Amino acid sequence: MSFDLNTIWFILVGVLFTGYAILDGFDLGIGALHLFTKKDEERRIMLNSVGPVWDGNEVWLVTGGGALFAAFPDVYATAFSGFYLALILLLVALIFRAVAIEFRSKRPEFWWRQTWDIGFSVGSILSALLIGVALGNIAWGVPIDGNGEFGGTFLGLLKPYPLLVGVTTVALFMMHGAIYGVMKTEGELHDKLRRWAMNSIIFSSSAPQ
Amino acid sequence: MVAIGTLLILIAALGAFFSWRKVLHQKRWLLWILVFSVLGPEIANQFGWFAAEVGRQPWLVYGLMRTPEGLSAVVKANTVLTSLILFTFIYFLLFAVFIYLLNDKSSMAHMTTV
Repeated sequence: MSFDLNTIWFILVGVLFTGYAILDGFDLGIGALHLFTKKDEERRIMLNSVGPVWDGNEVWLVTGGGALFAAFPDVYATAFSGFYLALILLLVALIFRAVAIEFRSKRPEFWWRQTWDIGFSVGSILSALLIGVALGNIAWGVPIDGNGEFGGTFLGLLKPYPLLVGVTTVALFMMHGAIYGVMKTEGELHDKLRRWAMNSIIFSSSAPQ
Repeated sequence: MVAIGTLLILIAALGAFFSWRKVLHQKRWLLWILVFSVLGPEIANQFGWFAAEVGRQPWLVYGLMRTPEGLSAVVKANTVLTSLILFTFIYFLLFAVFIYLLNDKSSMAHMTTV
Protein backbone atom coordinates (compact mmCIF):
# COMPACT_ATOMS: atom_id res chain seq x y z
CA MET A 1 0.00 0.00 0.00
CA SER A 2 1.42 3.32 -1.04
CA PHE A 3 1.11 6.02 1.55
CA ASP A 4 1.20 9.05 -0.72
CA LEU A 5 0.10 12.63 -0.15
CA ASN A 6 -3.45 11.90 -1.36
CA THR A 7 -3.88 9.17 1.23
CA ILE A 8 -2.49 11.29 4.03
CA TRP A 9 -4.84 14.16 3.19
CA PHE A 10 -7.77 11.82 2.77
CA ILE A 11 -7.17 10.67 6.35
CA LEU A 12 -6.60 14.24 7.57
CA VAL A 13 -9.87 15.52 6.07
CA GLY A 14 -11.60 12.53 7.65
CA VAL A 15 -10.04 13.33 11.03
CA LEU A 16 -11.16 16.98 10.75
CA PHE A 17 -14.79 16.19 9.91
CA THR A 18 -14.91 13.43 12.54
CA GLY A 19 -13.43 15.81 15.09
CA TYR A 20 -16.09 18.33 14.14
CA ALA A 21 -18.90 15.79 14.58
CA ILE A 22 -17.57 14.74 18.00
CA LEU A 23 -16.96 18.27 19.29
CA ASP A 24 -19.77 20.33 17.77
CA GLY A 25 -21.95 17.24 18.23
CA PHE A 26 -22.36 17.80 21.94
CA ASP A 27 -23.11 21.52 21.73
CA LEU A 28 -25.58 20.99 18.87
CA GLY A 29 -27.08 18.28 21.09
CA ILE A 30 -27.38 20.67 24.03
CA GLY A 31 -29.12 23.05 21.61
CA ALA A 32 -31.52 20.33 20.48
CA LEU A 33 -32.41 19.61 24.13
CA HIS A 34 -32.65 23.30 25.05
CA LEU A 35 -36.44 23.67 24.78
CA PHE A 36 -37.14 20.55 26.85
CA THR A 37 -36.77 22.56 30.05
CA LYS A 38 -39.07 25.53 30.61
CA LYS A 39 -37.00 27.07 33.41
CA ASP A 40 -35.02 30.17 32.52
CA GLU A 41 -32.20 29.31 34.92
CA GLU A 42 -31.78 25.77 33.59
CA ARG A 43 -31.68 27.07 30.02
CA ARG A 44 -29.00 29.52 31.13
CA ILE A 45 -26.94 26.72 32.69
CA MET A 46 -27.21 24.63 29.53
CA LEU A 47 -26.02 27.59 27.43
CA ASN A 48 -23.19 28.24 29.88
CA SER A 49 -22.05 24.62 29.69
CA VAL A 50 -21.23 25.03 26.00
CA GLY A 51 -20.55 28.80 26.13
CA PRO A 52 -16.75 28.74 26.18
CA VAL A 53 -16.29 25.91 23.65
CA TRP A 54 -18.98 25.94 20.95
CA ASP A 55 -17.28 28.47 18.67
CA GLY A 56 -13.95 26.66 18.95
CA ASN A 57 -15.73 23.45 18.01
CA GLU A 58 -17.15 25.02 14.87
CA VAL A 59 -13.66 25.95 13.70
CA TRP A 60 -13.20 22.21 12.97
CA LEU A 61 -15.88 22.49 10.27
CA VAL A 62 -14.19 25.54 8.76
CA THR A 63 -10.80 23.79 8.86
CA GLY A 64 -12.32 20.66 7.32
CA GLY A 65 -13.84 22.73 4.50
CA GLY A 66 -10.52 24.54 4.01
CA ALA A 67 -8.57 21.28 3.93
CA LEU A 68 -11.02 19.86 1.38
CA PHE A 69 -10.55 22.97 -0.77
CA ALA A 70 -6.75 22.78 -0.60
CA ALA A 71 -6.30 19.01 -0.91
CA PHE A 72 -9.22 17.92 -3.11
CA PRO A 73 -10.43 21.01 -5.02
CA ASP A 74 -12.52 18.90 -7.44
CA VAL A 75 -14.44 17.30 -4.58
CA TYR A 76 -14.86 20.71 -2.97
CA ALA A 77 -16.15 22.21 -6.24
CA THR A 78 -18.66 19.41 -6.81
CA ALA A 79 -19.89 19.32 -3.22
CA PHE A 80 -20.19 23.07 -2.65
CA SER A 81 -21.91 23.63 -6.02
CA GLY A 82 -24.15 20.60 -5.83
CA PHE A 83 -25.14 21.12 -2.20
CA TYR A 84 -25.38 24.91 -2.61
CA LEU A 85 -28.89 25.40 -1.22
CA ALA A 86 -28.35 22.89 1.58
CA LEU A 87 -25.13 24.61 2.65
CA ILE A 88 -26.79 28.05 2.54
CA LEU A 89 -29.51 26.64 4.82
CA LEU A 90 -26.84 25.19 7.15
CA LEU A 91 -25.12 28.57 7.26
CA VAL A 92 -28.40 30.35 8.14
CA ALA A 93 -29.05 27.79 10.90
CA LEU A 94 -25.54 28.22 12.31
CA ILE A 95 -25.83 32.04 12.18
CA PHE A 96 -29.11 32.17 14.11
CA ARG A 97 -27.88 29.58 16.57
CA ALA A 98 -24.73 31.61 17.25
CA VAL A 99 -26.35 35.01 17.67
CA ALA A 100 -29.09 33.49 19.85
CA ILE A 101 -26.43 32.42 22.36
CA GLU A 102 -25.17 36.01 22.56
CA PHE A 103 -28.47 37.92 22.37
CA ARG A 104 -30.67 35.78 24.62
CA SER A 105 -29.70 37.20 27.99
CA LYS A 106 -29.58 40.84 26.89
CA ARG A 107 -33.23 41.47 27.75
CA PRO A 108 -35.28 39.99 30.60
CA GLU A 109 -38.66 39.83 28.77
CA PHE A 110 -40.16 36.40 28.27
CA TRP A 111 -40.93 36.90 24.55
CA TRP A 112 -37.34 38.05 23.90
CA ARG A 113 -35.76 35.03 25.57
CA GLN A 114 -38.29 32.62 24.09
CA THR A 115 -37.55 33.92 20.58
CA TRP A 116 -33.80 33.42 20.91
CA ASP A 117 -34.23 30.10 22.72
CA ILE A 118 -36.26 28.85 19.76
CA GLY A 119 -33.59 30.27 17.41
CA PHE A 120 -30.89 28.40 19.32
CA SER A 121 -32.76 25.12 19.46
CA VAL A 122 -34.19 25.10 15.93
CA GLY A 123 -30.81 26.24 14.58
CA SER A 124 -29.08 23.38 16.39
CA ILE A 125 -31.58 20.73 15.27
CA LEU A 126 -31.55 21.98 11.67
CA SER A 127 -27.71 22.00 11.61
CA ALA A 128 -27.53 18.44 12.94
CA LEU A 129 -30.24 17.29 10.51
CA LEU A 130 -28.53 18.86 7.48
CA ILE A 131 -25.13 17.44 8.43
CA GLY A 132 -26.76 14.00 8.75
CA VAL A 133 -28.58 14.37 5.43
CA ALA A 134 -25.28 15.31 3.75
CA LEU A 135 -23.63 12.25 5.29
CA GLY A 136 -26.52 10.04 4.19
CA ASN A 137 -26.28 11.33 0.62
CA ILE A 138 -22.55 10.66 0.49
CA ALA A 139 -23.11 7.12 1.79
CA TRP A 140 -26.02 6.53 -0.62
CA GLY A 141 -24.29 8.13 -3.60
CA VAL A 142 -25.12 11.34 -5.48
CA PRO A 143 -25.57 11.71 -9.26
CA ILE A 144 -22.35 13.13 -10.72
CA ASP A 145 -21.62 13.25 -14.49
CA GLY A 146 -18.33 12.74 -16.33
CA ASN A 147 -17.26 16.35 -15.78
CA GLY A 148 -17.70 16.04 -12.04
CA GLU A 149 -20.88 18.11 -12.10
CA PHE A 150 -23.69 17.34 -9.70
CA GLY A 151 -26.79 16.26 -11.62
CA GLY A 152 -29.42 16.23 -8.90
CA THR A 153 -31.63 18.83 -7.27
CA PHE A 154 -31.98 20.06 -3.69
CA LEU A 155 -35.23 18.14 -3.20
CA GLY A 156 -33.54 15.10 -4.71
CA LEU A 157 -31.15 15.15 -1.73
CA LEU A 158 -34.06 14.65 0.65
CA LYS A 159 -34.59 10.96 -0.11
CA PRO A 160 -35.84 8.70 2.71
CA TYR A 161 -32.45 7.14 3.46
CA PRO A 162 -30.49 10.41 3.86
CA LEU A 163 -33.40 11.86 5.86
CA LEU A 164 -33.22 8.87 8.21
CA VAL A 165 -29.48 9.37 8.62
CA GLY A 166 -30.32 13.02 9.36
CA VAL A 167 -32.80 12.08 12.10
CA THR A 168 -30.29 9.55 13.46
CA THR A 169 -27.65 12.30 13.60
CA VAL A 170 -30.02 14.57 15.54
CA ALA A 171 -30.73 11.69 17.95
CA LEU A 172 -27.05 10.84 18.31
CA PHE A 173 -26.10 14.47 18.99
CA MET A 174 -28.94 14.76 21.54
CA MET A 175 -27.54 11.73 23.35
CA HIS A 176 -24.01 13.13 23.10
CA GLY A 177 -25.19 16.54 24.39
CA ALA A 178 -27.19 15.01 27.24
CA ILE A 179 -24.19 12.95 28.41
CA TYR A 180 -22.01 16.06 28.21
CA GLY A 181 -24.67 17.93 30.21
CA VAL A 182 -24.73 15.18 32.87
CA MET A 183 -20.99 15.66 33.26
CA LYS A 184 -21.29 19.46 33.55
CA THR A 185 -24.28 19.92 35.87
CA GLU A 186 -25.53 18.90 39.27
CA GLY A 187 -28.80 18.77 41.21
CA GLU A 188 -32.23 18.80 39.58
CA LEU A 189 -30.98 19.62 36.07
CA HIS A 190 -28.41 16.83 36.36
CA ASP A 191 -31.19 14.30 37.06
CA LYS A 192 -33.25 15.68 34.18
CA LEU A 193 -30.32 15.42 31.79
CA ARG A 194 -29.67 11.86 32.97
CA ARG A 195 -33.27 10.99 32.02
CA TRP A 196 -32.92 12.75 28.65
CA ALA A 197 -29.68 10.87 28.04
CA MET A 198 -31.49 7.56 28.58
CA ASN A 199 -34.38 8.65 26.33
CA SER A 200 -32.07 9.86 23.58
CA ILE A 201 -30.09 6.59 23.72
CA ILE A 202 -33.39 4.82 23.03
CA PHE A 203 -34.24 7.42 20.36
CA SER A 204 -30.89 7.13 18.59
CA SER A 205 -30.80 3.33 18.66
CA SER A 206 -34.36 3.05 17.34
CA ALA A 207 -34.10 5.84 14.75
CA PRO A 208 -32.30 3.76 12.04
CA GLN A 209 -35.13 1.21 12.02
CA MET B 1 -10.02 49.79 6.73
CA VAL B 2 -6.61 50.90 8.00
CA ALA B 3 -7.74 54.55 8.08
CA ILE B 4 -10.82 53.67 10.15
CA GLY B 5 -8.69 51.55 12.51
CA THR B 6 -6.18 54.37 13.02
CA LEU B 7 -8.98 56.88 13.54
CA LEU B 8 -10.59 54.62 16.15
CA ILE B 9 -7.29 54.28 18.01
CA LEU B 10 -6.96 58.09 18.05
CA ILE B 11 -10.56 58.57 19.26
CA ALA B 12 -10.04 55.94 21.97
CA ALA B 13 -6.73 57.56 23.04
CA LEU B 14 -8.39 60.98 23.21
CA GLY B 15 -11.28 59.50 25.21
CA ALA B 16 -8.87 57.76 27.58
CA PHE B 17 -6.96 61.01 28.06
CA PHE B 18 -10.12 63.01 28.86
CA SER B 19 -11.34 60.21 31.09
CA TRP B 20 -8.03 60.28 32.98
CA ARG B 21 -8.39 64.05 33.39
CA LYS B 22 -12.00 63.39 34.50
CA VAL B 23 -13.46 65.80 31.93
CA LEU B 24 -14.79 63.23 29.44
CA HIS B 25 -18.42 63.85 30.43
CA GLN B 26 -18.10 67.57 29.61
CA LYS B 27 -16.83 66.93 26.08
CA ARG B 28 -20.17 66.45 24.38
CA TRP B 29 -18.65 66.61 20.88
CA LEU B 30 -16.37 63.66 21.68
CA LEU B 31 -19.22 61.70 23.23
CA TRP B 32 -21.21 62.15 20.00
CA ILE B 33 -18.22 60.99 17.96
CA LEU B 34 -17.97 57.95 20.25
CA VAL B 35 -21.64 57.13 19.62
CA PHE B 36 -21.10 57.02 15.84
CA SER B 37 -17.67 55.39 16.06
CA VAL B 38 -19.57 52.20 16.96
CA LEU B 39 -20.20 51.91 13.21
CA GLY B 40 -16.44 52.11 12.51
CA PRO B 41 -15.53 48.44 13.01
CA GLU B 42 -18.63 47.31 11.10
CA ILE B 43 -17.76 49.50 8.11
CA ALA B 44 -14.07 48.52 8.28
CA ASN B 45 -15.06 44.86 8.37
CA GLN B 46 -17.24 45.13 5.28
CA PHE B 47 -14.74 47.31 3.40
CA GLY B 48 -12.04 44.76 4.19
CA TRP B 49 -14.11 42.08 2.47
CA PHE B 50 -14.83 44.35 -0.49
CA ALA B 51 -11.11 45.06 -0.86
CA ALA B 52 -10.24 41.36 -0.71
CA GLU B 53 -12.96 40.25 -3.13
CA VAL B 54 -12.64 43.09 -5.65
CA GLY B 55 -8.87 43.40 -5.29
CA ARG B 56 -8.12 39.82 -6.31
CA GLN B 57 -9.99 40.14 -9.64
CA PRO B 58 -9.63 38.75 -12.25
CA TRP B 59 -8.09 35.89 -10.27
CA LEU B 60 -9.93 33.32 -8.21
CA VAL B 61 -6.65 31.71 -7.11
CA TYR B 62 -3.92 34.27 -7.77
CA GLY B 63 -1.89 33.43 -10.86
CA LEU B 64 -3.53 30.00 -11.23
CA MET B 65 -7.26 30.29 -11.89
CA ARG B 66 -9.35 33.06 -13.33
CA THR B 67 -12.81 33.92 -12.00
CA PRO B 68 -14.73 32.72 -15.13
CA GLU B 69 -12.97 29.32 -14.80
CA GLY B 70 -14.40 28.92 -11.34
CA LEU B 71 -17.97 29.45 -12.50
CA SER B 72 -20.22 26.72 -11.19
CA ALA B 73 -22.18 24.98 -13.91
CA VAL B 74 -24.97 23.69 -11.69
CA VAL B 75 -25.68 26.74 -9.52
CA LYS B 76 -28.04 29.05 -11.40
CA ALA B 77 -27.68 32.83 -11.29
CA ASN B 78 -31.04 33.35 -9.57
CA THR B 79 -30.07 30.85 -6.83
CA VAL B 80 -26.98 32.94 -6.09
CA LEU B 81 -29.09 36.10 -6.17
CA THR B 82 -31.59 34.54 -3.74
CA SER B 83 -28.84 33.64 -1.28
CA LEU B 84 -27.34 37.12 -1.62
CA ILE B 85 -30.72 38.74 -0.86
CA LEU B 86 -31.25 36.31 2.04
CA PHE B 87 -27.90 37.14 3.66
CA THR B 88 -28.36 40.88 3.07
CA PHE B 89 -31.70 40.61 4.86
CA ILE B 90 -30.14 38.64 7.76
CA TYR B 91 -27.30 41.19 8.02
CA PHE B 92 -29.74 44.10 8.23
CA LEU B 93 -31.96 42.26 10.70
CA LEU B 94 -29.04 41.46 13.00
CA PHE B 95 -27.69 44.99 12.60
CA ALA B 96 -31.04 46.40 13.71
CA VAL B 97 -31.06 44.11 16.78
CA PHE B 98 -27.45 45.13 17.52
CA ILE B 99 -28.29 48.85 17.40
CA TYR B 100 -31.42 48.31 19.51
CA LEU B 101 -29.44 46.43 22.19
CA LEU B 102 -26.60 48.92 22.16
CA ASN B 103 -29.00 51.83 22.60
CA ASP B 104 -30.75 49.90 25.35
CA LYS B 105 -27.48 49.19 27.13
CA SER B 106 -26.25 52.79 26.99
CA SER B 107 -29.57 54.18 28.34
CA MET B 108 -29.34 51.71 31.25
CA ALA B 109 -25.72 52.70 31.93
CA HIS B 110 -26.88 56.31 31.95
CA MET B 111 -29.49 55.56 34.63
CA THR B 112 -27.01 53.83 36.93
CA THR B 113 -24.27 56.48 36.75
CA VAL B 114 -26.46 59.59 37.08
